[in-house]
Amino acid sequence: MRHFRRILGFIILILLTVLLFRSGTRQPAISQLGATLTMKYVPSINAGDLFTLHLFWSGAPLPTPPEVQVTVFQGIGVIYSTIRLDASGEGQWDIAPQKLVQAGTAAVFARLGSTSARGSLTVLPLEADHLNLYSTANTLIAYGNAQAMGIALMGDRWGNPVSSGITTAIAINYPDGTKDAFEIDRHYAGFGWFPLASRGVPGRTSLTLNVGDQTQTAEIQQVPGTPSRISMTHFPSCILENTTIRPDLLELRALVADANGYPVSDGTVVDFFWKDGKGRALTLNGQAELRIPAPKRSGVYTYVVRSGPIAQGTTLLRVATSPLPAECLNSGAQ
Amino acid sequence: MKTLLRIKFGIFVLVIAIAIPVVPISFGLVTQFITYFQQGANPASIFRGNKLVLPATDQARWLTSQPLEGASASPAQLEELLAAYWQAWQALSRAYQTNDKSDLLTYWAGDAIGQVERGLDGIQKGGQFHFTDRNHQLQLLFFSDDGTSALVQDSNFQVQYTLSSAGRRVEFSMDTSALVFITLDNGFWRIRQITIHYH
Repeated sequence: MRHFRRILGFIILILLTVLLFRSGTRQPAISQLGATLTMKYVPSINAGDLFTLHLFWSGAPLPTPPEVQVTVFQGIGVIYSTIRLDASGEGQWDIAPQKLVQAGTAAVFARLGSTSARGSLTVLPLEADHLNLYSTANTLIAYGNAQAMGIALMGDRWGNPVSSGITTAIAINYPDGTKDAFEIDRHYAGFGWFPLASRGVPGRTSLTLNVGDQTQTAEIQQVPGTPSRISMTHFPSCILENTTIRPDLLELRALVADANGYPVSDGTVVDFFWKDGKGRALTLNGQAELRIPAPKRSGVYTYVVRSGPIAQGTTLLRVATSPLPAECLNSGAQ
Repeated sequence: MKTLLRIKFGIFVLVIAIAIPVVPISFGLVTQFITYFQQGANPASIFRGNKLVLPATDQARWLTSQPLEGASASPAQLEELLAAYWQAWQALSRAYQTNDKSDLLTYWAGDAIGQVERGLDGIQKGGQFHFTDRNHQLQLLFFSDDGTSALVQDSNFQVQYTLSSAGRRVEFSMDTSALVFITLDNGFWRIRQITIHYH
């Protein structure tokens, strides 16, 4: 029983201490009952515009001090201030131009004592100020055999993605002289994409994006297809054995084209094979050359050339003794 | 015999005396060495310290596994994208807390980094903000066929700002959505465009 009294006394002491502390804390001497804090402002502004927020206090005596804490969250950023209400319970906050610049839906908070208000503000992006245009491939195989994506990014002067409702026009000039023009119909705010197929012959394809008064260009390269046709010649075409003017070197030349007859891309690998050797060369303007020691003994020599998985060609070289064979007479043989 | 024992004991004491300072110093050096190779996500570093750390599902998750438009994304690509997106918000949170922006460039680029820097500049003058975010629910709206561009809708995630300024501390909690364009640059996914809507 004695312990119970002690515990009870201790609890009462704590409660009294808490009450004393609470009564000593400075609370706003206001009656919040029925109080209303109202915000009035335009529902939307353009990014960077002046924003005016009107505050109204009603339903209860004006607290002291009559200071409203106002906070605006916009995109990745916060603006806040303390606004003092006048005797009639009204106040105004002007957020200067070029402060509210992040497009989207901003949240507006106002608080006075325990009374608060909350609202939303739509911040609209401005017109396109800068554009980015690129494709997901720098090169495409020509003749309509390849496809990539074109991607357009559009930002306003504050870096906001522009509105999705704008007109984004694409113009494409193909190497064969044909043109295409259309509007991007697949786009979200600040972003649009379109399928991009090759057309016509190898060469440069230029892309132009127009949004408002802004223009951006890009270029992709339409390249030939894989090696499909190959022909080989050699120089000299015939060789006379045991002559003093017999050449030391034999030059093998391969012409490599794709299925449409266009020279393959520069740098295409061409492999040459002969009876006791092989060599490799790269194409330039569709032609690859390889110089090898010329055979010395009479006979017919076979040279094979390959490029890619399917292209293959063969040529024969005759090394003859004097007199020169008839088939070599008109071919510049030595 | 006693002399031998004394010598052994002397050696033991000597070894202990040397080990007491050497062991912690060595441990510290090894720790520093390991930390050096794990710190930061500096794109310029050949070690590419950026680790694939997947967020917990209550931090960020995909609502759908395939894009509405464009090419399909592999599970590995989705994981990389999710991890980088989460890290971008974490870098932003660190920047709010410490005013150190150096980590932001790893995860933010283009127009978005300009917006982030402007936003942070406005805060530093007036007070200190703490920022936390959770429950990012991502939907892939577009994925490019070369796997380097993605448009992501982040719906109904929660952000909480804590403002400490002039002796006052106020908390704001908001449901938020965002439309985000992300590109893969030099092996790092970076946010290039962002539009945020507070609900």
